[in-house]
Amino acid sequence: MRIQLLGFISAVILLASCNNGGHCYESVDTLMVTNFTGNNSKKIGPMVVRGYGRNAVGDTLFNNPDSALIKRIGLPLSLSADSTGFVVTANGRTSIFWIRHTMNIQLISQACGFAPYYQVNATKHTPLIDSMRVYNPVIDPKSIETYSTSGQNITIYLHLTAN
Amino acid sequence: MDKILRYIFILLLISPIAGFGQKKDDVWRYEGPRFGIDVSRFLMPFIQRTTRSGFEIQADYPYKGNWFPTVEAGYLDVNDDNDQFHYTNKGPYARIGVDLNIVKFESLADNDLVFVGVRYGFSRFSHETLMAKYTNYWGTNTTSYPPNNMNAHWGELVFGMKGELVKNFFFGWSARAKFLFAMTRDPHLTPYVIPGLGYTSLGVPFDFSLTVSYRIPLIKTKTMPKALKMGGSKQDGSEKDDPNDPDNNLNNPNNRNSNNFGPGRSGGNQF
Repeated sequence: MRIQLLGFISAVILLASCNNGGHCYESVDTLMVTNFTGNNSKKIGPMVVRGYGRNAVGDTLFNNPDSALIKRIGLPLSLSADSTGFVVTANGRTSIFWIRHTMNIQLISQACGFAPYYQVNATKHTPLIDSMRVYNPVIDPKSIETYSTSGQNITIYLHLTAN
Repeated sequence: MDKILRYIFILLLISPIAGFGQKKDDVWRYEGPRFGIDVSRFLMPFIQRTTRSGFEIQADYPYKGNWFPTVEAGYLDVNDDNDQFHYTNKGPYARIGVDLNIVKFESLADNDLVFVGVRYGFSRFSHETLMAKYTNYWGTNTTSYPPNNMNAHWGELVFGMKGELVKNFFFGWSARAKFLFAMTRDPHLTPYVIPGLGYTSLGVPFDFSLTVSYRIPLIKTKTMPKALKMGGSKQDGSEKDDPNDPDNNLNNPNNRNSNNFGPGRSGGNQF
């Protein structure tokens, strides 16, 4: 019986120490990992990205003055519409592109709650963008994890003037 | 945690006292169906932050001394209401399996068990998202999903102990590792908890139960259950308990041990 009680005490201590505390250690930011690059190996100079129709102060999603061959950014998609538009200004030229998608909100975990999961169905852009290529149409909270490993959901090839 | 420690101290006090209430004139071995309730379901709110409530009942019956076919059934109700979502999950579950006592009974009156066991579990539950909210650059989306009936099947490996604290009343605990076999798919949400199984976010959910149970002493015997023969030991092939077996013969002074309930204190010839 003493063995039993000792075991019981150990188990209770173990159980008490197993309290998960309700902390969220997973990403809940669903962002489309997007690469911007030139169509002919030209560097991208100062670049600004904002949501289509979002012109207020603080609506800028990305503002980078440096020059680089590739610029990477995580873009949020609309939670209510079935397409999301972005305005990109690079090397002094402004372009617009749209992502058509479906979305449903799924449970991640008890601690993290819910997050949107997207499926990209189509893309559209203005003539100042050369082309767009979808590498991974599934956009979920784990997509941003590919940000640091050169992964991407989409690449946008810009028409760039000489820099 | 203070309450738990107090509870443990009470158990430590009760443990040696329990033996004083035993009659010393004649010792019999009692067996029969045992019915219990898992009190950990009621203690859990004092130990962990939880949104769960429910109950679980258990029953077992001895078979050839060391085997205990077991049935467990319960009900779980989860109501998780916070700023980001309101999720409910409720339903009954049942498990069927067997426990095997792995230690030798020391006397006729010794009913303490250290056991390993297996279970097959099944649950039919309904979960519902009354509200789920998400906010990003484009605004806030609030949605809900209607109730969805789900099924889940799993297996369990069990290790535990059970002791007779007062005549026919048992107190025990068990730790369990659980393995989900199959579950109905829901496109919107995989339930983070399944009644009877636990949290699905863990690869192998572990669970713990504290059981208080009562044995109905239907069978009265002078025969000791045969001790388990482990691998490598001599096997005679006999499944019957043999009173002539030195392990079972209580006239053998080696079997009159110092256990509180032991025949060594009865002083009489048992056969």
